[in-house]
Amino acid sequence: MKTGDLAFAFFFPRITRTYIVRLLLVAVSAVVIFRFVLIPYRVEGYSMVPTYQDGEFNFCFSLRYAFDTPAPSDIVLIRMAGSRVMLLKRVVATEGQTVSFSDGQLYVDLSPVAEPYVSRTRPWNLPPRTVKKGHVYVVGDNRDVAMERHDFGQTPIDRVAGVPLW
Amino acid sequence: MVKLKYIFIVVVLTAAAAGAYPYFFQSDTTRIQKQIGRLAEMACKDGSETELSAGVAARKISRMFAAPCRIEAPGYGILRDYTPNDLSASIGAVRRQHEEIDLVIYDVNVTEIKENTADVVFTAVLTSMPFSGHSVREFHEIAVQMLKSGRSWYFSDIRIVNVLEK
Repeated sequence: MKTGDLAFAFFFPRITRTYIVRLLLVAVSAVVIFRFVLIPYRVEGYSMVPTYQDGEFNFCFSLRYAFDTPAPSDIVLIRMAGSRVMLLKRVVATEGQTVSFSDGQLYVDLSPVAEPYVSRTRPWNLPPRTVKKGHVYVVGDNRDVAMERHDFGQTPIDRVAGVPLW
Repeated sequence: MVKLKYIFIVVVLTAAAAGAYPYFFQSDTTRIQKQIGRLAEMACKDGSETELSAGVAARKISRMFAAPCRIEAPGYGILRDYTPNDLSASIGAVRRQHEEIDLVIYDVNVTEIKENTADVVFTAVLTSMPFSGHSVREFHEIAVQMLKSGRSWYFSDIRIVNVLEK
């Protein structure tokens, strides 16, 4: 077949039964993949700066924790009432650990944690608290805001919808 | 010719029945979703409005709530029962302080419907621009109990869910 004929056949295919079945399969696969496995999202806000910037596009890979649980330093998406709006945060502690902040420094089990992903901090002070069973403690990378204005804390693991694809 | 006339009548009647069906036979879930959508639509404000129109809007919104309506928003220091008059006054005050208000609702899940009550959760994204200050954008998961009276549903118990517990 000549290149011109191939191009013509590509852009103007013959509508056969096989063609329709393939088309339907592609459409169904796309819906399943982009609705349940790789959920597209756009970052809104500055909670994860400098790791993720406002306006960036990404996918939430929902199968990441199918056989595993979130671990410290994982970046996760936290589901709210559904998956249309999610919170993008970093896991800093898991169940049974204690979390505290002293003058902006994160402490887990009373030991300081090195956080190379945090560029600037403010003097956050938070007394130690233990992460409940079946929960993870998440914080955003942007610590250059007042502690009261930054959403962070512990949340049930079943609220973790997945991880950013990149 | 006679046949054609009857066919036409049947088609018109069928179309009318199809159009009227959703109005007369709406499920409770659909009615609740519409009521929440209506609340979001009415809460929005674009540009300045007169004292009178702010009052009218506040009064209309307050009619969507049961009397009394319990509101629990720990982050704002709110935990009390509101009468329609209290609500109307509070909504009016908020509208007078803000130039723009935009409320968008996502992921409305009607989790349980009993005879006269329904439990609903949804994510609310509120963007507001006060007359003095910066634009504020907030994300909240809201749990609502709704009360049925006649064919209408009213908001009777509203709680901001603490997704991340510091």
